[in-house]
Amino acid sequence: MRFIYTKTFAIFSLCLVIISIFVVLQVKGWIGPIKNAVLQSPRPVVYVVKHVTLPVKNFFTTLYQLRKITKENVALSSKVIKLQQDLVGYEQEKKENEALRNELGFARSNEMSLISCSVLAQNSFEISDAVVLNCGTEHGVIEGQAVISQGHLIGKVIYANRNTSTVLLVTSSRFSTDARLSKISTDAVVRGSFGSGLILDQLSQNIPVEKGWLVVTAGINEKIPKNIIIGEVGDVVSTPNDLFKKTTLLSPIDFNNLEFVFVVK
Amino acid sequence: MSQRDPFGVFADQDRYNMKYLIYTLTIIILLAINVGFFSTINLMPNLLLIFLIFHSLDKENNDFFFIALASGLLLDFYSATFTGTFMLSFLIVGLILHLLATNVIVLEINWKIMAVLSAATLALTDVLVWFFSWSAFKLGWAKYLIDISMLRHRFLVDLVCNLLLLYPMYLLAGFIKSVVENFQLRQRNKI
Repeated sequence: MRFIYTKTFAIFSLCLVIISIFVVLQVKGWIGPIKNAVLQSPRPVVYVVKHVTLPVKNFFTTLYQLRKITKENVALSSKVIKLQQDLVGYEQEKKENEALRNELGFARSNEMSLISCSVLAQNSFEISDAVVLNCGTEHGVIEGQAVISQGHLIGKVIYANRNTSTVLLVTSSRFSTDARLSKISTDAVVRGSFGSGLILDQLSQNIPVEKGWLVVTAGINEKIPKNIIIGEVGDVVSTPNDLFKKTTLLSPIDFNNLEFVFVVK
Repeated sequence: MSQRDPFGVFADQDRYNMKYLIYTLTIIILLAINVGFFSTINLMPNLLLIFLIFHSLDKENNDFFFIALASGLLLDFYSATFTGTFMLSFLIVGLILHLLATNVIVLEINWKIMAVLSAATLALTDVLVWFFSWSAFKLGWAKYLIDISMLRHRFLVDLVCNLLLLYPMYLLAGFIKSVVENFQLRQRNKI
């Protein structure tokens, strides 16, 4: 019996029709409600499983990394003391800045307006380096807006539906944004790299760069405000003969376990 | 005949609905375990693909079509790919496996054949996922493209994880199949 006359082929054809319907819904932008409903369904089970798994994982990780944690603790304590000293100086400068602004009549620059969102679908399979949020156009989300978590840039919105939106993470090889070394106000470009890290690129070779310097957004892209922290400079990965200097960029964010983020309006 | 349905018109329908409900719940739970447990410990097996493999190799029925569609839809939404990428990939992979099991593989399927089939299935799925994502991007339907280098980069790790989970998933697939069959038997006996 020929395959095309079998029940299997008939069911296969029906499945192709169903898939075509879903594709049409996606192209027309009508798939939002279905996506929202489907993504909500495993959330209770995911929540329970995560809350059982995470404490166990943290327990064994802590045991395994006890020595490293002790060293980090000492280094962080001294860093905190130094930052507290810096903070005293900054508070003074902030007061002087306020007084000068008032004297000169400068308008106050607006603080960022944020939309809080939950991550419906995390980057669990590390296939597309993108996550889905439960906010869409009806919450004020539009394509191109920056998304932050714990004060750090984690991506930008690439697709916004009525109720959901898709965010391309900074670790994606397709992500790039303008950046600035906050210490010396030099512009550069930050690119994602193979889902595992960030690269700071297009720095001039004769610019000195030190490990630990903060890198922030430059604000050249009108939808991504300036001074959002992206990460800290890591190791230099280019050679002196390369056209531009490249370094790794370290972000403290765990991109595989994002739960709550903010979209910057 | 049941009192609810004296003419037995909806008897078959009830059985089918319950079967699909059981499969849907299983798929949701497997996805939740994949996302909630395995991603927390930084492993990335694909439990839904393994579940599909076992049902595709079942010569007696065509339930793998529903499993391919439902799993594919969930994965499309969860991995933020263009809708239809995983659905089509799983459908084609499931059909190929089913045709292999019914027409080509004469001997009883053993664990060696299973391991080879799992590796081949994973490779084919990755290629199909990349191809459909590329097609959607070229047609202007998708905003971004899946990087095939990432799929290549992760292939060995995913394969090892999938192979380690073959036996537990085989037990689960067998259990779900027996639950569905028992339920269908009970419904037939009631009517």
